[in-house]
Amino acid sequence: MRVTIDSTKCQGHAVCLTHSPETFDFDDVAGKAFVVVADVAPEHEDHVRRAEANCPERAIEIV
Amino acid sequence: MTRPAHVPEDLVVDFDTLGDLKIDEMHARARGWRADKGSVVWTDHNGGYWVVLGAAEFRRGLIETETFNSASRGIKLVDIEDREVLVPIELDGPEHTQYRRVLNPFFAPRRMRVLEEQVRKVARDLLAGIAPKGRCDVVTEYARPLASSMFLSLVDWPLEDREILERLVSLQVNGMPGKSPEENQRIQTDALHELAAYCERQITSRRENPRDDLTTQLINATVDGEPIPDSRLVAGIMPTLVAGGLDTTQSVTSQTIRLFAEDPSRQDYLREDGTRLHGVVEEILRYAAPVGPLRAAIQDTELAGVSIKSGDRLHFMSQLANRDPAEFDDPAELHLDRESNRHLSFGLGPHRCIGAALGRVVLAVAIEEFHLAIPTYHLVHSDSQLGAVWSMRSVIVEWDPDRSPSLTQTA
Ligand code: HEM
Ligand code: SF4
Repeated sequence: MRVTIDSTKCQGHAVCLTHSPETFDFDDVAGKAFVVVADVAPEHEDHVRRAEANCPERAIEIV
Repeated sequence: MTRPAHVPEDLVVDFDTLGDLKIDEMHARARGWRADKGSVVWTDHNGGYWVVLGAAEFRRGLIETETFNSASRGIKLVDIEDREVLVPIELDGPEHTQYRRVLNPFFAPRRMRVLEEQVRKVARDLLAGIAPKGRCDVVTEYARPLASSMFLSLVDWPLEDREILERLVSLQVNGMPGKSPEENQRIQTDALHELAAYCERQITSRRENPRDDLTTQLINATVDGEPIPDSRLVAGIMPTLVAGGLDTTQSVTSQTIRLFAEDPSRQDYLREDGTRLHGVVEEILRYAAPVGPLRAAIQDTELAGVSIKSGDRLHFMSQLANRDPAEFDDPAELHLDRESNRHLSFGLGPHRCIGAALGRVVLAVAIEEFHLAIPTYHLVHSDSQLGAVWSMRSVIVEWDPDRSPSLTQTA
């Protein structure tokens, strides 16, 4: 599984960090999240799916 | 005020958000509007504006900033003349982005972990006093002091000033129930001025004794290479932070305890497994959203087939969009185990609530600590109100002080 964040859509709700702190980190000044590990390990796939399903801006894409 | 000619008669509803309506009654009414009239309706009350109930329309409205802006939004439920622009909530475009970049770091998710410990300590102190009594009013004894302590920790102002701040915010946001609109305009204006004067004292004290805190850093911050003018700090930014954070957090905390007291199986659900807390907070936020963003149309457009003209004002009601059946299964029911929950309680787009991470932390701590300290409790009485922030007037609950609580603590 690969994951990306569309930074034009992301508004920094940080819901993704709660679900998958292994995958996402946060730019404190821009107030936006970014992906630290784009190739998601199998044991984190569930976390990332939950992040995607709860991102209010629909900014997370799983490919 | 006369209704604009382009508003169809059959989309008009009788909705006075300053009237004497309870939250549950309001939701029942809105269900009727949605079924009979659709996702966008009009009210003549409070100056006349569109009320947006649909989640899809909400998304469009908050993301399409070239059509709907914040600067001229102007649903001042009770207008206060001659005041500073509220920052960042009434700014648009690059100016808004610049202020968000100054403010964002103070609200970063990382920083919330430090604040969490401070808020937890306040919660425990409050509960140590409450638990032996077997009864309390959650609003005044728990939710309100917790929310104002959270804010004071955020800005690093003296915790002893809690009650001063609570009184001013409550007056500024909602006025005094039972007073005429004219009287309330004066009461709210006075409260805003008093609040600004209080903020000014804090700023002066930091100028004299700089510290490593939000207030000092705001004094030193620059926007477009210039320092932020004092008038904007004390009457634009600080009041927005106070008003944005206090009543909202307090309302959701109080509504949570009411919902759990009404149906103790909800308490059991949480007590059985503390790791459920995160999902519980999100579902509570969906169900008990206290505010919704205000905007004005700056060009003609259509929303859910309804013609909107430039200059029209709109209230994008998170409270109601969160119960749109097109977006949420079984929306009128609280499902604490809801899996996918893209609720709209913190808004969307560039004005997304800057305090969302803080609000979530405070709610989680408030709920967790309450259930660690208080055994199964029951509702004695509760009362709610609409207004700028939908809130609980009181939530009185009772429990057996001789029983011990149990909650599997989160890891
Ligand atoms: C459960 C608690 C909260 C809820 C439901 C809530 C809700 C909202 C909503 C819906 C908006 C969007 C307004 C708009 O788009 O016009 C907003 C913005 C804002 N909130 Fe919150 N809020 C909460 C807690 C807080 C806290 C704790 C703070 C800070 C102390 C805060 C400060 C702000 C500020 C400054 C804005 C303006 C952001 C901007 O315009 O860029 N809020 N809030
Ligand atoms: S949840 Fe979505 S909008 Fe929020 S920070 Fe993560 S990617 Fe961005």
